[in-house]
Amino acid sequence: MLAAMFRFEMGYHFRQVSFCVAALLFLILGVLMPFGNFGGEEIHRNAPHVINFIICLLSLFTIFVSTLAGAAVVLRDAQHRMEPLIFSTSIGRLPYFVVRLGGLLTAVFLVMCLAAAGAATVTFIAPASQLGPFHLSYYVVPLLLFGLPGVVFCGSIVFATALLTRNIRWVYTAGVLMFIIYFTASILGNSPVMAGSIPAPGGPGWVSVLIDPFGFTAFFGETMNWPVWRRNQELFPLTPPFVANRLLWTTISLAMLALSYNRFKFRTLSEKDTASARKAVAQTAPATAYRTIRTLTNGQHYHWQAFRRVLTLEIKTLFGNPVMTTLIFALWVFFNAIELFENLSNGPYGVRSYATSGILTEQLVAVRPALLLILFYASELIHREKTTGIHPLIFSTPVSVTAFAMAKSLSLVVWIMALITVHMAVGVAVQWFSGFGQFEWGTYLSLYYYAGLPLVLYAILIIFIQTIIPNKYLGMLISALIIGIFIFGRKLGLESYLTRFATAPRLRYSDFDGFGHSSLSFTWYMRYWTLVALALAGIGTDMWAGNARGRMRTGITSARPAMVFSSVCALLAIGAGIFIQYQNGLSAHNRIGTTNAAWQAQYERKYKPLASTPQPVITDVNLQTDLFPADQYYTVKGSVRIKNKSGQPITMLCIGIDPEVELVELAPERASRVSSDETFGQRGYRTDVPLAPGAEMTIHFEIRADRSGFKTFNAEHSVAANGSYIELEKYLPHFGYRAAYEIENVEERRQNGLPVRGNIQSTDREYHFIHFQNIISTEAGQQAITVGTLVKSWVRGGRRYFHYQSKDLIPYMFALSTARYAVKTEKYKGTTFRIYHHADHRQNVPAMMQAMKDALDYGNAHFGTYPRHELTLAEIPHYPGSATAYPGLIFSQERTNFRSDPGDSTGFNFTYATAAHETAHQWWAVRVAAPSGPGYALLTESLAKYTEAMVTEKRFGKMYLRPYHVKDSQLYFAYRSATAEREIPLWQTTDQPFVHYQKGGLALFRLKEVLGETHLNRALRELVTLHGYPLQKPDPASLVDALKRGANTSQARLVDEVFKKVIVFDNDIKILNNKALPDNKRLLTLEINVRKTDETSGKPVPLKPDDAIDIAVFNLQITPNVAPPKPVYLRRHHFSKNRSVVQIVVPRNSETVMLDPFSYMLDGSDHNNIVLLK
Amino acid sequence: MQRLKIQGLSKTYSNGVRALDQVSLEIPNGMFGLLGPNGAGKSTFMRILATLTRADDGLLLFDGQDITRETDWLRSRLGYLPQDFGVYPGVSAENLLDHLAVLKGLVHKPERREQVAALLHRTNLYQHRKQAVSTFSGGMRQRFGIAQALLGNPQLVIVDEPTAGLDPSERNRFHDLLSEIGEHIVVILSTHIVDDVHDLCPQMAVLVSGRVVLEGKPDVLTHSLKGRLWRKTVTPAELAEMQAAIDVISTRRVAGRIQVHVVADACPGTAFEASDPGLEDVYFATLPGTGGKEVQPC
Repeated sequence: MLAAMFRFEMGYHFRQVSFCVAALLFLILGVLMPFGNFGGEEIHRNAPHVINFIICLLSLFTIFVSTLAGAAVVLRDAQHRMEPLIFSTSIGRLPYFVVRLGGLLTAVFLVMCLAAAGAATVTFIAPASQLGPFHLSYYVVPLLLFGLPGVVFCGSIVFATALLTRNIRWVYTAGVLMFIIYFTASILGNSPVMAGSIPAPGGPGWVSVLIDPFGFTAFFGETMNWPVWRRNQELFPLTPPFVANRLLWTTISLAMLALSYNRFKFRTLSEKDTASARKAVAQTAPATAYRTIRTLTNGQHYHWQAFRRVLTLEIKTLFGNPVMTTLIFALWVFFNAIELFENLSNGPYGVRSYATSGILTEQLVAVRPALLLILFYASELIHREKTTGIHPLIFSTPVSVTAFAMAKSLSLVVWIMALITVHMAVGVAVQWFSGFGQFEWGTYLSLYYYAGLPLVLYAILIIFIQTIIPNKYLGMLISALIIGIFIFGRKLGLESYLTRFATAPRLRYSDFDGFGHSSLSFTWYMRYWTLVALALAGIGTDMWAGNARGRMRTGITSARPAMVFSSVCALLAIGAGIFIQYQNGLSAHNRIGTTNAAWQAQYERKYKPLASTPQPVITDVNLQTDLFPADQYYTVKGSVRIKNKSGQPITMLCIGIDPEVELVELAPERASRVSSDETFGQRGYRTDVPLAPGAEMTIHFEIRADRSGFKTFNAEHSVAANGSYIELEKYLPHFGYRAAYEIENVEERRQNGLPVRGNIQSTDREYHFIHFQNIISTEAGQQAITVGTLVKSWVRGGRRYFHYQSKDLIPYMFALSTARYAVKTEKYKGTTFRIYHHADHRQNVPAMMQAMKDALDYGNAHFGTYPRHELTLAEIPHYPGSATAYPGLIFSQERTNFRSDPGDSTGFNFTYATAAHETAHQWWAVRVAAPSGPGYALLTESLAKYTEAMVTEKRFGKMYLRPYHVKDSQLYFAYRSATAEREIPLWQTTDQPFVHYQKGGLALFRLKEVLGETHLNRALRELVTLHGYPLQKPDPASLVDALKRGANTSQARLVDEVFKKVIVFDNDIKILNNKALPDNKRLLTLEINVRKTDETSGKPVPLKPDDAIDIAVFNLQITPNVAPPKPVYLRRHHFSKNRSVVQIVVPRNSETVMLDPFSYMLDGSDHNNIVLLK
Repeated sequence: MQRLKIQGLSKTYSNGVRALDQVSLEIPNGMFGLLGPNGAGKSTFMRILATLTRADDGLLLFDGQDITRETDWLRSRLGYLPQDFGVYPGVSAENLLDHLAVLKGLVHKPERREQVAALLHRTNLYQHRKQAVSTFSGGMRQRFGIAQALLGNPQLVIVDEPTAGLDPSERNRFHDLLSEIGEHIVVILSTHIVDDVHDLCPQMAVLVSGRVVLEGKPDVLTHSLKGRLWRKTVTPAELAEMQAAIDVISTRRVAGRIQVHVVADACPGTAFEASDPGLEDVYFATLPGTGGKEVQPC
């Protein structure tokens, strides 16, 4: 009998439209997904890693399949009122349970298997070069290890919910909640599943592996670092944490099922029939006689009344069950609050930001998960009359279908607004609890617009889709699919915001400008999408009429009002779309420009030969820059003087202009234009007379750049109503080939058919410094900041003018910013320090000021005199990094530096360090720089990191640096394992920031410890005196040589190791014996293991250690992330064996022993460098 | 003057089933009974009249208005009790009736309140008015359906199997109610229960396989069978033989034995006795398998 019942169950599943569609979908996904990128070109498309990945990912989406199947099939007896018939048969509790459960799990697992089958088809589709051998186990094993447990888990939750609540709404809620909870937990747990997660140093801990029901964390954590050959050959290993995970979650699933088996109501039909439900109300009023009453069904009053009634009813139903609504809203609050708190402390190095209204609102704009709930509610709304069976009663009344449709849609809008209100409240609460007192209510209220409006538009779209698809479950599935397509549109190739429903360019918040910059394009895109949505709504209303009351037999004889409305909206939408496209393409030169890989590849192919053509060098820049913040554009009129330093006569001037800039005029003296390439902004000018070596020429030009909100946002090139920042040197006409336009990413270069980027040092050793002058005008009330000294400032015609001039020659770097600034000025040792900042951002200014002074002191004392009498720092709203240095000027980003909380408990003042770092650049980059190419960043970033560390050490003590160094070390290893290419040794570092920032800083600190600060600084001073402007640029090797001079053999060897090799350690420390000694001392016997590996060639080669490492002992327990106090014991020990035993004498009250307390040894696993004394 | 005029009404479903085939009827004020077996097309006919479905072909006039075009006009004077309906869960009888009253056009609150209360009294639901209709038993729900069909000022009331689920006393109350209102409006009563048609309807029609096979006044139709109805008690074996030979219109068990009714102009065989025809006999006589014998009205 069971077999027959099971067959019926499966048949029922197979007949569900949603099942068929889901099966098809998974099959197609299975076929397509192997063609994605799973770690590089050499990964086989049918590699076990790829198949496992696909199955893992899809097992997550079985949440939806289970929910739909559970709702449609498990609850069918209650839903379709078959219970009396079913339960009056002799079916037992266990068979009923088993068959129903079995059917659900089998159906969902089948869908999963179809995906695997789809993936197997890649064997026939992909070319043989991309395939490895076919093994059935590659498919079966992941299905059993990842697919099946995932299906069982989802299925058991859905099944238990269905059986215990016998309410379809709860089933849907369970499904949605599972999804939301899983993703929120992933974000919070920094799970490697999430695309944006920071690679956790050391891999995910076993706790995170354990609590992931789908086993993703285990999978990604383990295989993240697998090289290509392992991914191609090995099945996922059964590591203990993984096995524990599978056992845990299978047990939980079984427990849930057991619970539901014990407690579900079988044969106890609904409480509807029990007497308690039918309490009659006493008949108090005397019976009124029935008489007919005239009705009024024409006119506005009737339609308005009907509309109001339906609206009230629908709203009541949407918010219906107070328990459910509260639960949903409570969970929403909970997860959003957690995410907000997390993001606040997610600055670089874990620094906390202030919980400002702006920062929180910017986060809160993301409300996508609400779409799942909207999907569900929309479906309920639309099908309510049919599902409840009240359809004939309602639609035999003259109620207008339009009013009905509008009331339903409006009720959903009301729900959305309620959600946004709750959402807002979360932000307010988080701000309150974080103790930031300034509430900007306007900013919070703007959430109704920025977050609410897109949701409303999506709701209209969903309602439309579910109106035209009569089947309820199919409608939900298709809606989910379409939403998915729009949300992941970018990855599917839909670039333009005009093709992605209700999306607009990302909203960026800044205290300077609010959402100002992004809001213009947001508004226009929303206008466009609103019109599209209204057009859809019109069509939907029209179709609803058809669905509700049967189709009009004859064709459209009279224009139906809804269709007219739709047409009008559609036309207006097209108009808006054209306007937007026009705005996007307003400047003749606006393509997506340099962020467009295809453009970049073309540019390189076409113009790389220019790199070897002799071109002049700019010696003088004289500009007049006019900014129009309110209109978001600027113009530059001016001239550059060029000189032929190439040693050959120049006949052709190859002048290029950035695609984001419009060239108004370009007039080289005595030259005529011979070629013009609009796509790449390149122009060729033939000189009337060849420019002889050493000769000069002036070129006049005028440019204009439109930086409206419609353009793709470029933080280095932005003009906003308040807070503009332009790295102007990038946008003036340039000569010859611009290597900066090349594609850097190795994978992308391969995809575009470009050769590996040649990495040779430029042969040009000259510093081509310039005279610089810029008269900047902007709105009165705003201050313009740029390099040079402010000679004069005046007001004219409602605009403010600033005349900046460089007193001496400066590098070709002259960024500018304008904003309504407040300024803090201090004079110290003859130098004027200024910090320009947003009036409210005062908190971190003292730290920055102190850092600038300290760093300048240090540099002046050890490297060379700072040539200027002023150093300025200006706050800018948006910037890809933290800060950037210009001659005499530092630009510092608002969020990380000004809005970080100085009273923060991580104990490291990142703002101070950053300001010191940027000040250090005045030597390392402005005064001295290597020729561009390998090693350039060593002489700029690594030396700046070193200086920063020294300045910080002087101010706060050496132990203060520990948490910072620990994080840098962890980041070094994390980024290192995330990169596919071999690490380049420090002295030739290119394109690998983790080498010149993280490793560089730590390596130089180590050298300072070993060679001594004086030795190091002497070498650095040499660099300045022998190679600073106006002399020749240094070779990075000269730093290495300078450091080796005066060093003994082992020190010289260390210098070579640090710079020319890639060496990592894996050390640990253990306590072998702890003996108390008289006079309050202890004798500790320590075992120290030093594993030193040389990875310069890419393959690890173990080395015999020959290194000195510090051992520190503290008299209390060390909290991570906080600077430890002064140690009670600190000595450097030399190790020349892998295993050494060392004995040290320490005070009685010692508690913690630490190896490498300053964390500069580049130890891949630092958790075993600390031991506690019992 | 026939208030409701139906000419040539036809509807074929997309699966090819011809639900209505050239149905023509003229229905005056008063109760009109519609009889017919399952699948005869009665419900389709009712749904078309209730403006929930559109016919493929045909002319429908009510008070001279073409109701295929003036649908909202008809809806504003329509009362419909479907054979099968559900309700919004968790809404009380009073609230739901009020809701439907608004949709029907009772915009004036005091009047609406009055009528809602009156209807609840008339259908004996007043003491349950605060309960959710979704918790009502079958009979109570049926009474609610009757109540909502009478909201406003209905001129055309369509009731489909209205007394299903009602106990005898409720059935009587319902009949009283219908008769009361049915004097000056058109009430179309579709049912299997021949007695109801007999008791209540001055006019009736029989619908079989989408066609009107009989139309007229019940007593006239019954009278036309007078002298042509015969009955006999037989054994099961004899029955099979008999059905092959003559026109058996119905069989019935009486005290364990089978009683057959036969229509014939003259006595069809031995031991047959003449019997007074009832409306049921008229009905059975029209059903297929009667050898196409049609009963002519006088």
